[in-house]
Amino acid sequence: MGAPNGTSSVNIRLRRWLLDWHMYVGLLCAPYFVLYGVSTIAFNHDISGELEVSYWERTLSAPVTGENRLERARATRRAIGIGGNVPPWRIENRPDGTLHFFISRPGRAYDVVVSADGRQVRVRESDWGLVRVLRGMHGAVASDGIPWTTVWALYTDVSIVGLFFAVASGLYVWWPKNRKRAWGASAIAAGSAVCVLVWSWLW
Amino acid sequence: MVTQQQLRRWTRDAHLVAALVLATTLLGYAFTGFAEVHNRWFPDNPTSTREPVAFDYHPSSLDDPETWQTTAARAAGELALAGRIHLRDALKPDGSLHIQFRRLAHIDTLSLGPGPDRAILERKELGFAHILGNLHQLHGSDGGPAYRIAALWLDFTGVAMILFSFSGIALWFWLKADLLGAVILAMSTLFTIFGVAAMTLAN
Repeated sequence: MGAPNGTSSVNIRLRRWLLDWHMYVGLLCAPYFVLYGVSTIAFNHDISGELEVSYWERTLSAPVTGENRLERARATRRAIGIGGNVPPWRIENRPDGTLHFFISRPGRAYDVVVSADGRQVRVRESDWGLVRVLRGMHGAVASDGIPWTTVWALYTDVSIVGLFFAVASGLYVWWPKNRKRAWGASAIAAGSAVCVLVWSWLW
Repeated sequence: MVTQQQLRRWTRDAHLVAALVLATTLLGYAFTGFAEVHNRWFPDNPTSTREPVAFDYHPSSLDDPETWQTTAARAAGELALAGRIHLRDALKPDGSLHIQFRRLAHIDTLSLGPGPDRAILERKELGFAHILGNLHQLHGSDGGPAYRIAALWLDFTGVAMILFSFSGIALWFWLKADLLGAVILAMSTLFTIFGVAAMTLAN
């Protein structure tokens, strides 16, 4: 007589291996999942930090140069030593010859004006604090001038793939427990129905 | 008095039940989150149509923000428009009023004026990448019952992500508590704390 479904030695070994890696992947991704959960609730209830605004100026030893306004904006960012991305659609050459652009990164934004001679830089710095940092790191891409954010972007991707693996491996490991199959399938069906119905309703 | 055995069982059951109920939602958010971060990898070809519609309005009231919401509600009823009403920057420099009804897969924009008898309805069918991004970014409860249910479901998902992490760590500790797991958890936790602290504190 053959082994009952899901209890052959190969299956048992596979299930043990999957359970181990389910735990290891979970441990790797757990801090990101906590951040993801907290920031999701913050997005959903529009929770932001207390905004603190400060103004400062810097005189550069050499004028910033660049082939185009994006290059000039990026050169200015490097010259003033601020990490973050310069959105290309938020750069403006003003009629008085000044260059106006933004630098943004999780939790902080810089509104920068460079004088016509390229030497004087005026900055309005908006600091949103911890909650906006968490919201910004929810799906962050790498920020220019902050090397470790490349690793964070990779960690985000790994956590997304890790979530797929955790769900799939968790279901596979759990599924052979025949006694609970029926209510488990009902729970999956009910949860899927809510998700699909809500998304279809809003389509 | 709760025994450790009971606590383990409750923790395991909470981890399992939340995972089963939210499996589809989590996979959905993992996929749409990946598409959001790597939106250039997904096709996006929106289309739009414009047509004049019969809709009565008072040209002199277009610049009065207090009337916008009631005009939008009337338009929703008369023109069978549905979705989240968007009125930010609704008044354009030429004096026309643009009321948007935003849904996951399309945006209806009703433009009124300038002047009388100029009601135009534009429907923009969003591309695949944009729809995935909208699915991932859907949050907040304003806009009607469907949005309130979606927001409640999103809250469940956010709380579940936090629950999975802590219950998963507890289960690993009770079942395995090995060195490899401890190293993985320590590294991922330290990196996340470092990232949040660096973003919050650094200029």
